[in-house]
Amino acid sequence: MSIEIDGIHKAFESNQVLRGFSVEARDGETLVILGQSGSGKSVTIKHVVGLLEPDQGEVRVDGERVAGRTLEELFALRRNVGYVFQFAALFDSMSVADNVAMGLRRMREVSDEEREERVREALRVVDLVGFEDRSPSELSGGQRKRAGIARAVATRPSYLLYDEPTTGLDPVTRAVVDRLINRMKDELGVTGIVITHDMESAFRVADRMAMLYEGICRLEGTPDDFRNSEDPVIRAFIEGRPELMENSS
Amino acid sequence: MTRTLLAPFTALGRGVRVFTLAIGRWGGLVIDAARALRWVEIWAPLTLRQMTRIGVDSVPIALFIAAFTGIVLALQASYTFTGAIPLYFVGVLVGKTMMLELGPVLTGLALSGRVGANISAEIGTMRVTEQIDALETMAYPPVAYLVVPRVIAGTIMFPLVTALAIAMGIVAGWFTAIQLLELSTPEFIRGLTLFFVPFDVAYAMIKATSFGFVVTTIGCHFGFGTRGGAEGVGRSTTGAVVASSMVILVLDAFWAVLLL
Amino acid sequence: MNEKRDAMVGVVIVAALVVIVVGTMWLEGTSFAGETTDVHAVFSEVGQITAGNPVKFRGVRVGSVRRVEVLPDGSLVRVTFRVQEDLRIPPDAVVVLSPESFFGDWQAEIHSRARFPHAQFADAREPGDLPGYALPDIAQLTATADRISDNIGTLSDRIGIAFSEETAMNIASMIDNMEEVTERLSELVTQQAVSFTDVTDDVRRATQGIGDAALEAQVVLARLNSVMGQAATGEALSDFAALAENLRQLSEDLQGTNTTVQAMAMQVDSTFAALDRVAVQATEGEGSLGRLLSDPTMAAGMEGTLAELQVLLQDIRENPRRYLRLSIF
Repeated sequence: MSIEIDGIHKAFESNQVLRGFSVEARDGETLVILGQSGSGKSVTIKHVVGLLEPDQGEVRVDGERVAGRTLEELFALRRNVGYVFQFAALFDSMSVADNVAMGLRRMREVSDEEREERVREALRVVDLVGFEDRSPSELSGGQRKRAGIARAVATRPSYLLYDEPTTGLDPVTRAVVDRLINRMKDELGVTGIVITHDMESAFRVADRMAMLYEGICRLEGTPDDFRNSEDPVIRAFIEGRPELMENSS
Repeated sequence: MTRTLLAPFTALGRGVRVFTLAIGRWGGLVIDAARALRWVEIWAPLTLRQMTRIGVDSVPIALFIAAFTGIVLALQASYTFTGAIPLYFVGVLVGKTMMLELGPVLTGLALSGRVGANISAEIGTMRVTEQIDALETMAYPPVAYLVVPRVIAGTIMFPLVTALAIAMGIVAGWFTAIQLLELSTPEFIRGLTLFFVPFDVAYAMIKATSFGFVVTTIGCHFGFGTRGGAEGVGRSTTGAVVASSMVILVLDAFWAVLLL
Repeated sequence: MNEKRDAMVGVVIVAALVVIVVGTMWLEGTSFAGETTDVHAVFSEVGQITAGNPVKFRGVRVGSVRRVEVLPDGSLVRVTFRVQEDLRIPPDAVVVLSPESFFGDWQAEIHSRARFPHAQFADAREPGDLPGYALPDIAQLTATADRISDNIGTLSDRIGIAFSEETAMNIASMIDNMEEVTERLSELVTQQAVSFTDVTDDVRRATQGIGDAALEAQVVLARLNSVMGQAATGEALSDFAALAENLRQLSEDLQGTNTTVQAMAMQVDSTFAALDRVAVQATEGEGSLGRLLSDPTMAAGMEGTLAELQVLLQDIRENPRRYLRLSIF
C-alpha cells in the first residue's frame, strides 16, 4: 500500500518541469513534498490521479501503473485517492452537502441513505455540521478548505493528496487545517501526500519529507533530517533566506 | 532585415497554424462529446437544467429582437414597394425574410452572445479554479458532465426558440401592416401564403439547429481552453462570442449555397 | 423549483412545436374549418402550378392544390386539389390552370367544359379524374411569336423574288405591313422587361398597331383576290369562297374562347408553313405571277393567317396579363 513516484519527467512545451523526480509515500504516513512556487509540486501529484501523464518514468499506486489505464480503471483509482485542491475547487452552483456527495453519486454500491450518512460523517470530521445547505460562496477560506477535505474523504479513500492546504489562510486556521490532516491520518488511517511551501505547517504534519528542486528530489528524509541538513538550498528554504542559495550557486 | 521582410509571412503562417489548431481542438471536443454520450447517467439529469438556461431563459430576448425586426421589415417593405408593387407583398417579404434569414440568424447571434458567453465564462471559471480537475478526480468525465448537456440543450432549444421568434416577427409585421400601413389582414395573409413552401420552415429549423450546435460547442471549446485567471476567462468569453458569431454567418451562407 | 423549471421547459417546447406544425399547415393553406375532400384532374402539362396554389370556382377560393405528380407512364400530370366537401362540382367540370396575377403565382379554376369548346383537355384515365388544361404562359407565347416572325421574314423574302409586276407592288406593301407586325411583336417581347404598368400600355398600343396593320393587309389581300378573279376559273373562285368562309368561322370560334391561344398559335404557325410552301413552289416553278395567283390555296392561306393573327391580337388586347409575366422574384 503505497504511492511510488518513479523518475518522472514532464515538460510543458519548452518548459521542462520535472526531470526524473522520485519519491514514495508509504502506507499510513504523511509525506510532505516541499518546493518553491512553480517547482512542479502540483504537477507531480496530478500524475498520481492520472490528470497528467508523465513523458518518462512512471507513477504506481498500490504497485500498479497509473498511466495506460482505461478510463474506467482510472475512475476506480480516483475513488481511492482523494484530492484536496488548493482553493478547494468547490462547485459554486451546489450546496456544501451536494459538493460532498458528488463523488458518492458516482458509486452505485452506495445507497441514498448511506450517501446521506457519509456526507454527514464527512462534514462532522471537518467540523462543518450545520453548513450542509450553504453555498460555497457563503463560506470563509478555511471553511471552504475544510469542505474540500470533506469532499475528498467522503468516498473513504486510502490516499489523500493535499495541494497547498494552508496557503492563504490565517495562522489559526492553518493550525486547524494541519490538525485536520493529522486527524485524517489517525482516525481514517489514510496515507497522505501534502505539497506545501509553508515550513511551519510542513513540520506539523510530516512523517517524512521530500524537497523538489529543479525537477528532481533534492533531499528525502524525516523532518529531523531536514532540520539538520547543511544543504544551502534546503537551509534557504527552511529559514526563508534566499541569500544562502545565491551564495552556494 | 530579412526578418522584417518575412514578418507578414510569419504572421500569416502563425495565424493559419493557430487557426487550424483551434479547429482541430474543437473537432476533438465534438468527438469527445459524441463518445461521452455513453455516460447517460451523468449528462441526462443535467440536460433539463441547461434547456432552461439556454432555451427558456433566452425566449424573452429572442422575442424582443424578432418583434422589432418584424415591425421594421413591414415598414421598410411598404416604403420600398409603394407605387410599384402591390402592398400585399409586405406579407411576402416579412414572412420569407423572417423564416429564411432574420429569424434564425438574429436569434442565433443574440443567443451566441447570451448562451455562448455564458457557457465559456462558466466553464472557463471552472477551469481556472480547478473545478474541472475536481470533476475528474471524482470520476466524472468533464465532457459528459459539462459539454454534452449544453450541446444537447442548445441543439434542441435553438430551433424551438427560433420558431417562436419567427412567429413573433410575423405577428409584429402583421400588426404593423394593419395598424400603420393601409393593409388588411386578408391581404397580409395572402402575401404571407403566396410563395410559402413548407421547406422554408425546415430550412429555418436546420439553420437554427446547426447554430445551436456550434454556439454551444464553441462556447465549451473556449471555456475548456481557458488559461490564466479572470483575465483568461474574459478572453475566452470574448473569443467564444466572436468566433460563434462568425461561424453563424459562415454557416448561414453555407446552408444557403447547399440548400437553396 | 425543479418542478417549475420542468414546466417552463415543457411550455416552451410545446409552444414552439405548435407554432411550427400549425403555422406550417396554416401557411400551406390547410383549412382547419370544415370538412374537405380531394379532387383529381389530369393535364398534359401544368405550367407553374405548385402545391398550395388556390383553387377557384366561379371566382371564389374553394381550396388549394395539394400535390402535383407525373403519372408513372409519364404521359400525363395528375394534380390533387383539396376543396370544401360541400362544393357541388358541375357534371361536365374541367380544371383550367392559369396565371393568377402578374407575379407568376398560378391558380386552378373549376369550370364547365361548355365554356371551352376548343381547348384540348387531357382525357381522364381513371373515373373521377377531371380533364384539365393549362393556359400557355408568356414564355411559350413569345417562342411562338419568334417563330411566326421568322416565317414572315422568310416568306417576304421569297415573295419579294416571285413578284415583279405591277400587282406585286400591292403585295409588297402588304409585306411591309407584315414586317411591321413582326417588329411590333418582337417589340412586345422586349418590352416585358419594363415595369408592368408601362408594358400594359405598350401592349395596348402595340396590339392596336398590329391590328391596324393586319386590317390594311387584308384590304391588300382583297385587292389581290380581285386580280386573281380575273385570271382564275369560276371553280377556283368558289373553292376559295368556301375556304374563306371556313376560316372566318374558325376565327370567330377562336375569338369566343380566348383560351386556346396555344392551339391557335400553332395553327398560325402551320398556316405560315403552308404559305411558305406555296411561295417556294412559285419561285421554284415557272415563277409566273398568273400561275401563282390562279392557285387559290395561296390567297386563302394568306387571308387565314391574317384572320388568325387578328384573333390572337384581340385576345392579347382583352387579356394582356395572360401574356405577361414579370420576373421580379
